[in-house]
Amino acid sequence: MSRLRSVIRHEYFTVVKQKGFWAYMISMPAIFLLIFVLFGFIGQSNNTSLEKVASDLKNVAVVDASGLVSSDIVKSSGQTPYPVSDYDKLKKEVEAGDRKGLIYYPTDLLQTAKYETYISGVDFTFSSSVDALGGALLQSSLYAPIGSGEKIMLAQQGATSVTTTYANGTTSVGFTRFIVPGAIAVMFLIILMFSIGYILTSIADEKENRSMEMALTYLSPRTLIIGKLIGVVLITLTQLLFFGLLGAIAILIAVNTDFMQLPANFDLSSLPIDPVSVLFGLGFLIVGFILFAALMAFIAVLLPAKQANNFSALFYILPFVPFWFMATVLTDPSNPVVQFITYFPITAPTTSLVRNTVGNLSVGEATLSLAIMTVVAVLTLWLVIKVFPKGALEFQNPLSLRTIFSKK
Amino acid sequence: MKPTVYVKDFSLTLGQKEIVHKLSFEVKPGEVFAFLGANGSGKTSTVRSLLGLYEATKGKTYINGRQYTAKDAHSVGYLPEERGLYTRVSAIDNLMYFGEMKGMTRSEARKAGMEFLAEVGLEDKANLKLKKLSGGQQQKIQLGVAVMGNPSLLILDEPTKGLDPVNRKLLLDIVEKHTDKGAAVIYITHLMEEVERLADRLIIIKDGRSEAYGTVKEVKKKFKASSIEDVFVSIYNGTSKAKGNA
Repeated sequence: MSRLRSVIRHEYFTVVKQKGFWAYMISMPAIFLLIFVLFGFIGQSNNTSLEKVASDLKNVAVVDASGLVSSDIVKSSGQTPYPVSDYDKLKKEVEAGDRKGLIYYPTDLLQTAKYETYISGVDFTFSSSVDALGGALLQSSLYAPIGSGEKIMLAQQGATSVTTTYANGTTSVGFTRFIVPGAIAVMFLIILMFSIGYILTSIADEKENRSMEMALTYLSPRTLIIGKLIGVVLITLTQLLFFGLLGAIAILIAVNTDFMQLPANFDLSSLPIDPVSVLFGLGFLIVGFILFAALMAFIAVLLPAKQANNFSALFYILPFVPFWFMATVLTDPSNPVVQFITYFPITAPTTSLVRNTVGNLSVGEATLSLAIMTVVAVLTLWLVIKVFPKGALEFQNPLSLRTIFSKK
Repeated sequence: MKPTVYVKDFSLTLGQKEIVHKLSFEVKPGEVFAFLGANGSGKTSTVRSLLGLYEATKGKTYINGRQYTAKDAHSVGYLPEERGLYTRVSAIDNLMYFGEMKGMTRSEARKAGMEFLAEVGLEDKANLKLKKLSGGQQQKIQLGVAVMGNPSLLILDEPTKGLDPVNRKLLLDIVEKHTDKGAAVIYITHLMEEVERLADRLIIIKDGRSEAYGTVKEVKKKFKASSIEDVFVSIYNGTSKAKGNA
C-alpha cells in the first residue's frame, strides 16, 4: 500500500510540479479571456463608430416623391424632410461631398419596391446605416395607420412566447434543467482534452527513457499501472478544481458587476437538479474517463512512444463524432447512426452525455450505453495489466497479437 | 554459506530465439562476481530473468533462495545498462522514490539519499532536476538508487561507463564499501582492468552459453592467459581450447 502511495505521489507531483502543466492550464482560459477582452475593445470601438455614424446621419436628407413616407416620422427620427423640387440640388451636394447622404423615395415605389440612397464616400458602415434608416422610415410610415405607438412596436418587433413545459404530469423547469447535466458533459470534454493524455505520456516517457525497467524491478506491474491511473485521476481533479475556481470567479464577477451579465431571471441558487440525468451524467463521466485512460495506457504499452503518440490522436477525434451529427443527435435520437454512436464505446461517452443533457436519452438506453462502456473499460484495464510487463520492456517494436495473448 | 544468487540450468527463449542456454552460476555474499560477454551475448536477458522481468524458459534463477519478485525489492540494487531515472524529477526525489520502492519510509529515504549525495559531492545539487546534471553526475545518482537501503545484492551493468578516472575510483570505492558490508555484486563490464581489480570470481558467456567460470586466478590458469582480457579475446576469436568451469 505504501508503495502504491509512493507511485501515486510520484505520478502526481512529477506532472503538477512542471511549469508547463500550469502554463498549459492557464493558457487556455487566458486565450478565452483575451478573446473576450478583444471583443470588449471591438465593442467599445464599434460604439464610438456608431456615435459618429449617428452624427453623420443627421446630415442625410430625405425626399419623398412616393407619398408613402410620413414627414412627421421623418422629423421624429431626427432627419429633415425636403421637397421633391430639391432632389437634384441635394444629389449634387452629396456628389460634391457637401452633404453626407440622401434618401429618395421615387413615385413608383409601390410598384418597384425600390428606393434610392446617395452616399458621400465609401464608408460601408455609414452606407449600411443610411440603407437601414431608409427602410425603417418607410416601414414606420406604413405601420403608422395601425394606431398607437405600442401597437406599431408590437407589429414591428413581434411578441416573445412564455413556455410552460410538463414532464411526468408536473410542470418542468424548462431550459435550466440542461445546465447541470450540460456542465457534466463540458467537464468530460475538459478531461478528454487536458487530462487523459497524461497516462499515455507517463508510460511512453518511461519506456523512452528506460526508467520503466527500473520501476518494474522494484514494483509489480499491477501496482505501477494502478498508481499511474490514480495519479491521473488526482491530476484531473486538480485541473477540474482549477477550472472550477476560474469559473466561480467569472460567475462572481458576472453577478457583482456589469462586466458580464447572466441571463435575466437566472438564479444559481435554485438550479433544478434531475437526479436521474445527473446520476447517469456522472456515470458516463467516470466510466468514460476510466475507459479513455485505459485505452491510452493500452496503446502506450502496446506501441513504441512515437507511434503511441500518433495513434492517440484517434482518441481525441472520435469522441467528437457526435458533434458532427449534432442536429440529428438532438432531433432524431432513433436514427441508426445516433444509435450506433450511443453504444460504440469510443463515441458512447460524449454521445450519451449530449443526449442526457438535452433529455432525449431514455433510462434503458442510458443503462445499456453505460453497461457497454463499463464492460469495455474493465476489459481494457485487464488487458493493460496483462500486457504491461510484456510491452513495458519492448522499446523499439509494437507488441504482436501473438505476444499479447500468449500465456507467458 | 548460502549463495545470494543461484542460477541453475537457466535457459531463456524470447520469440523463436534461444537467448540463454543452460547457464549455471552462483554469487556469494561479499563477493564481486564479474559477468562478462560481448554485446548481445545474453547478459542483460539473464539479469532481467533474475529480476523477474523475463520468465525463465527452463531452470532456476534465485535471489536469496527464491525467485525474485517486487516484494523482495529491499534486497536488490539494480543499475541497468540503459540508464533509467526520471529526468524531470530532482536528484533527491529520484533517490527517495526508489528508496520508498525498497521499503524505506519517506524520512529514511530522504536521510539516506542526502547522505549518499554528500558522499559523492552532490549535496548542493539535491533539488536540481536530473536533466540539469551532467552525465557523470546522473551516473552517480543512478548508483545511489542502486545502493539505497543497503541491499544484499547489487547488479551493476557498466557502472563506470562515461566516468572520469576520479569519479570512477569514487564509484568503485562505494561498491567495495558495500561488499565489505556483505553485499554480493554482479558486475557487468567491458573493462577488463576493473575485473582484475575488483572481481573475486567471474563468468564469461558467448551466445548465451558459459565459456569460462571460476575465480580470476583459476580462469587465467585454465586458459593459460596472463590476463582476463586475453581469455576474453581468445574465447571470442575462437582460439581457445579450454571451456566451461575452471
